[in-house]
Amino acid sequence: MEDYLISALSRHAAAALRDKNRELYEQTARLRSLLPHFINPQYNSGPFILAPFDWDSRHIFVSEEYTVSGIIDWDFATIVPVQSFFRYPAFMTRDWLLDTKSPIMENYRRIFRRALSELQDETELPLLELLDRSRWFHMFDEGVQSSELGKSALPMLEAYLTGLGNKKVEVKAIPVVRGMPILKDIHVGGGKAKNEALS
Amino acid sequence: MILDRVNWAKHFGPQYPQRMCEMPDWDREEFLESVDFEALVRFASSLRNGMPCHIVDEILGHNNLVYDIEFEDTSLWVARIQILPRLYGCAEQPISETVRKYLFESMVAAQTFARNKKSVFAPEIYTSFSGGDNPVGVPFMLMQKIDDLRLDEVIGHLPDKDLYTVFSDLAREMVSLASPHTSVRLVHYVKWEKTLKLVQWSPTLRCMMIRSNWTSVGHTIQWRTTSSPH
Repeated sequence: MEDYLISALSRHAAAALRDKNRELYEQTARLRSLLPHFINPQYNSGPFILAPFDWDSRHIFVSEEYTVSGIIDWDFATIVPVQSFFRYPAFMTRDWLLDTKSPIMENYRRIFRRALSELQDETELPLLELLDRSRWFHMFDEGVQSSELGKSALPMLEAYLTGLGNKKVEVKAIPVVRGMPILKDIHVGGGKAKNEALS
Repeated sequence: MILDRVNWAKHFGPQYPQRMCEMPDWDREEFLESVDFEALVRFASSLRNGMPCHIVDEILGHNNLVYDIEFEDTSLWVARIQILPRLYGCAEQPISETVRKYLFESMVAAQTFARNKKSVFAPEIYTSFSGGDNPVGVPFMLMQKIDDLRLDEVIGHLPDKDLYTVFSDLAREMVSLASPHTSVRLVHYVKWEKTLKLVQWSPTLRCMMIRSNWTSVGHTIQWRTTSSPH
């Protein structure tokens, strides 16, 4: 898992070096530095699980008694890491996209969380722990996959960690992958990076 | 073949997970002329020992045209036809035929895989063609019709008690998909520098192992049934 995310980051870093894109390199290096805060190394080698694209409510069918009778549209179903798998279906988290809270969505999440906790006996995976952290893991994961999403995710992820520890996130000067240049003076909030490879 | 995110990143690049672009123009009539609907109905009928059937409804989706097919005994099937001229719409960067085929086959594999899991209600696929070399002339699949209420249309009116029923089932589907007691083994190949290499085979099957430094030019995940589905 960790290797996989780093390999995705290294693609962006390599592209940044090729295009002499300092902003992208800095963003990639900062995401790399946040990685240990979001990855649980316990899941480094799995499980990886097949997931529908986003559990869209338009693709879920229910009976007259409101039991689920079908899930359609398996286009773009992908194999994802378990930390990404147990998350609230997208239709319960629309408010998060706007960084707000909606009472309707919160109610959905509260009920879903309770329903999932009832199934804890059926699996060894810590369902609620995974669910509760999934918002941030998922944001991190998507930010790593996509340099575009990474741009918007990075400040939110850093703000989240800052809030957790009540202090600024330390950005460590580590290469994205071995052999790549280190950005020595990256500061949270977008400081100027000095690096010959990018100047 | 099930889509994984290494391939996703390769095909869709920085636009993961959604591509934001202009829908290409397409001519519906022109596309429909390439579909042999009589052959479609004949084909469906042949899968049920010649029981007569006909098309009763059409739904225009984003990427697919969906037709309800009703048989003489009133049972319903669904025919799903990819709208080739605008598939995964991107006017400036249309997907290649290889990628389209890959995504189609991946979807079929994912749906079949999911269906083999206990309490996951993916519709049964009766037949599928990822290419146009079939009597209908275009890629299509025939599958089970789920003739029920769509959650997005009813969710706004549901009291907490019913929400709990729905969400409880959804949670159960999640746990089932994550279940290690699976009937399926993953074989993970990486086509690396144009040679097919077996990278990881997991007999306990909870996972596919992921390697760093991918330089794959394409890779597939295959699975095969080793015992009866749960």
